[in-house]
Amino acid sequence: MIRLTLGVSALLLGVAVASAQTAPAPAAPATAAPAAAPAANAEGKTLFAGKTCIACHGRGGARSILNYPDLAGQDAKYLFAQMTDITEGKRVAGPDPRGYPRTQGMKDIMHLVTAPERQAIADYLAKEPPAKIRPLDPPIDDARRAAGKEAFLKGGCVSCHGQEGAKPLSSYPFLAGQKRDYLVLQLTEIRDGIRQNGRVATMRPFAKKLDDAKIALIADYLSQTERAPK
Amino acid sequence: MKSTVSLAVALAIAAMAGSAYAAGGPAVDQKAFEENKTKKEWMSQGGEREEALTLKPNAANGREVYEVCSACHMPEGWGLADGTFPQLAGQHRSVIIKQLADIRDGHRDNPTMYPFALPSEIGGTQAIADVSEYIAVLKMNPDNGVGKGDDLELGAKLYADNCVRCHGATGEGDAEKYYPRIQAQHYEYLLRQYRWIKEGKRRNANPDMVEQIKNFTDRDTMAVLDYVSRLKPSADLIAPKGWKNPDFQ
Ligand code: HEC
Ligand code: HEC
Ligand code: HEC
Ligand code: HEC
Repeated sequence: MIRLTLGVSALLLGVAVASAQTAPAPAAPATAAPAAAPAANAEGKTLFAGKTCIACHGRGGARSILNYPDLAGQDAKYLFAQMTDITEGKRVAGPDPRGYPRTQGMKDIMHLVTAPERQAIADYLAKEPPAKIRPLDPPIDDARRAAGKEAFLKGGCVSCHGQEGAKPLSSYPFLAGQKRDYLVLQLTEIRDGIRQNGRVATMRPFAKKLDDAKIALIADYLSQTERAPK
Repeated sequence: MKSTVSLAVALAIAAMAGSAYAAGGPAVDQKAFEENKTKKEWMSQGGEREEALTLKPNAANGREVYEVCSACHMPEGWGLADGTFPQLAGQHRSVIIKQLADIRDGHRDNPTMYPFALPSEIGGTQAIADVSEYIAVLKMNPDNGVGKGDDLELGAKLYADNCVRCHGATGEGDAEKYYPRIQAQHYEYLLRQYRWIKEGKRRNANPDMVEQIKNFTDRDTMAVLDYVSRLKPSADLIAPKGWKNPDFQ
């Protein structure tokens, strides 16, 4: 099931840690618990690099290409749910400039990762430091930043995605620091009913109130908002 | 390590220019691409193919470009036995150039890979010239995916009667004529491409090949490709078992 050799050694490491936990050791169990996390993370990291994710989403999930999303520091449950939805064709997307649905390229490789492997990748990514802010050209000015913040507040977005898009409800996505063009695409396609997966329906009424200019404004603002590392 | 860093920088720069891509992607002419997507054409005219062949390849850059390819085609260029990613190692340089040019200008569909064929990601025609050279001299997978092995006699006969004239006695292809090397390719990949060629989904297929195989049954198809997957390249083209590409360790 776990195909990569490194994945296997990570698993063995996991076993070693587990047995260390059960051993009647004088060492405090408090040290055993955090030790388990790096083992799982190492597996997620290996899978992320070895199962092609890295080609599109970049090192550590923080250097994605084109208008593809950064994944580093995103909520683990959200990441896992999106992988499943894209794999099963429940999450669809409009066409890229070449006319392929934007989710197609990823959908076509997702058979390479099993559900437990996806979980390991999600856990790994959630703990990675979020991507650095990608400056806009021209850079955002204070007035536009303030207007974006206000639109985000008035739009009711805060209730689910938290202050500045940086403190979402559990299993909802972080938005702060995400790439601008990706945010524009998602907001537009959620509004227009193209993306309908998961709990998108709960958000649709809010998105429907946004015209293209508001979407651009909010995306500019969110993309330039630092997300403090967890 | 140096190449790793510069690639990361290149990717970061490409990503920062995000809005340009959302608007249509630079350098490869969007209009031409859309036109090409409606065509079924084996040997397109006026693309990058012939120019790339005339350029002198730069080995160091070829290796640098290949780094991103290795995420899917594997550092050794061996692909995956389940056929998701083809083996590229040892393919004729002319064939690699043709396929890259076709994927990049819309003559062949490849939704998973097309971003990595874009000039904005890997560079212009020179990059194609460079990376194709890097791939062509990689030693091949000693252990590629094969079929069930239960119908090889039929496979051998079908191959001799229908394929040899283009793909050669042992599936070695013909670099001059852009006929691909198909020996020791993963069976599952061969099967997918062959079916797409037959059904017209692979639009850059060779029309004479399409004609040649049009009456093949499913059994014929599986038999001949099982046979092909077991054809061996000459020993000097194959890597030792377990070889790891030192460029990406
Ligand atoms: C060929 C490129 C490609 C590959 C390979 C790829 N992805 Fe994606 N991924 C995308 C694109 C494009 C999107 C966004 C689609 C859209 O715009 O709706 C995406 C979206 C996602 C999302 C949802 C992000 C969000 O904020 O909603 C997750 C999670 C994800 N990918 C994980 C992975 C994992 C894990 C792998 C490897 C097993 C992987 N991807 C491989 C292109 C790719
Ligand atoms: C009622 C809760 C709710 C409200 C209010 C809400 N959202 Fe969402 N939003 C969600 C959920 C849930 C998702 C993830 C949907 C899924 O399950 O795939 C989401 C997804 C998104 C995404 C896509 C994230 C990604 O990584 O792909 C963006 C962008 C977004 N919301 C922006 C906004 C903005 C801007 C507003 C205000 C106008 C807003 N949301 C209001 C619940 C909400
Ligand atoms: C995200 C995964 C991915 C990346 C990265 C990638 N490829 Fe591919 N490539 C594929 C897939 C999938 C196919 C097979 C498509 C099909 O079945 O038609 C393919 C096919 C090819 C082919 C055609 C092979 C043949 O036998 O006809 C060539 C040549 C190629 N790739 C070269 C490259 C080069 C060079 C790079 C780097 C610049 C690269 N690829 C990067 C996924 C990828
Ligand atoms: C008239 C010449 C011709 C004949 C006969 C022919 N082929 Fe081909 N074949 C080609 C060419 C040319 C291509 C590459 C098309 C392109 O440029 O995309 C090709 C491509 C292929 C591919 C895809 C290779 C790849 O790497 O993607 C397979 C598989 C294949 N041929 C198998 C066969 C088999 C098996 C037979 C016999 C049953 C056969 N061909 C007969 C010319 C021929």
